[in-house]
Amino acid sequence: MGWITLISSWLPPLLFGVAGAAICIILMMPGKFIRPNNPNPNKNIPYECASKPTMEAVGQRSVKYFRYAILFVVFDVEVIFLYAWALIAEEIGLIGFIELSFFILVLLLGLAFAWKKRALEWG
Amino acid sequence: MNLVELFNYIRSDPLLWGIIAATVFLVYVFSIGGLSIWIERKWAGLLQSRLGPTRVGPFGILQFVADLIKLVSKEDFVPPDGDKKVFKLAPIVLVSTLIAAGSIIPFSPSLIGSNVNVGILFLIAMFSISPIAVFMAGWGSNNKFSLLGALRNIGQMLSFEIPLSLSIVAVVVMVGSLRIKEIVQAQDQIWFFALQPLGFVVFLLAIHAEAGRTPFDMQESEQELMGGWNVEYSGMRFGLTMVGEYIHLILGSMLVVLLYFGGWKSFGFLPPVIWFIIKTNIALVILMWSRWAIPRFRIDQIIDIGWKYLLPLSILNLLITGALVSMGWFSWI
Repeated sequence: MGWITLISSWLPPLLFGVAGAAICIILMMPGKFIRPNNPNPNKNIPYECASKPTMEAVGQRSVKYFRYAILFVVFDVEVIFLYAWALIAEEIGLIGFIELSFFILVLLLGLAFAWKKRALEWG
Repeated sequence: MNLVELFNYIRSDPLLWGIIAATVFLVYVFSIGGLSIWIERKWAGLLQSRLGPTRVGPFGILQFVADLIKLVSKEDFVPPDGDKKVFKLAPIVLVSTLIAAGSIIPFSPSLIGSNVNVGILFLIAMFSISPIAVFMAGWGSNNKFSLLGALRNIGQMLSFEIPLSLSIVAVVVMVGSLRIKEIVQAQDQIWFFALQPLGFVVFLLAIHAEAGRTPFDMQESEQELMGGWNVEYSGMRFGLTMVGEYIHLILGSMLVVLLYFGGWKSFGFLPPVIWFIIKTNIALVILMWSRWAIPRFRIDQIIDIGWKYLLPLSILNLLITGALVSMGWFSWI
């Protein structure tokens, strides 16, 4: 694919993104002239059920989220490979599908392992 | 120069076409977004035996204008202890990536921002940026509720992203192309929800979670997190986060129609664009329905649904579809 085709097919998505950013800034503009601005030290305290916050907001968080994130990376990479197969599935026929099933089988074993090790339990 | 020639001339110049298509798409999305806020509130009223908005304009239809004026005139608060740049950038990232995703949505065979060759993969990629924007908002706010809401949002998105992509792969296998235009054209004889019932159910559940709708709206569960990741936003910045969520919902309903209900394919007597818009809005109302009909799940239940039910089901669906396609059963599509 030449440069011209590449640019002409990707220019509209880029312009759409720029237009999206522009509309945000345009919508923010008129408020500058009419909105009130009364800063107050009490207003600047993080909002927390009317009591004073006890710790920093950015502190230690549960490891659960990271566990799911790692699992996600494994399966997301799998999906990317599947897209490549999906485009030529009909041409490579049953042999290609059987080879792909082994690939999926390995990942399913991984899922079963994670399941058995209770990595999918939230509590 | 008549209208068709003018359209073809604009279509041939990517810069001109991009600018005009982006403007039209923005106007469309914002008007449908404004209208859908009214529809949602009226629909909720109907489902809960109350009236919904009635005061502003006939049947309260101008309610979103009143909301807009309210949002513009509110004080703009930026948490001084937070990460101010990240905080200000988050809504812009959210809205602009979702609008960019809209550039590959075909409204009709010729009304499409750009028929890029990776099509649906680009859309999924743009969808996956929205949790990053949500996390930027949660991180920049310097508020525990925001950060918790953002973390939950990421956990939920990660759990439902894979079933979503896998059910899309099952459609791609049948069509053999990533271009959304060709996916719609392949539904000439039969719409894909009839050929992919399991994939359709998985997709519908996953798109609820992607768009952050109840019963999967863990990131902004009002009762425990006071609104979640956008709790520190006020005024128009808050409005922009809501705009982002509505664009996400509108794109999700468009995707349901394009992948499973034949896109612009019609029963005649109206132009394809109108058919696409009608179908999209029906899908939108159905997506809104669940918010008022089903109570919210807990976070552990949501993650369980994603990993233990939808993921195996979507792999099963893909294996069945893949086997049938490889044996040439779907060569007529």
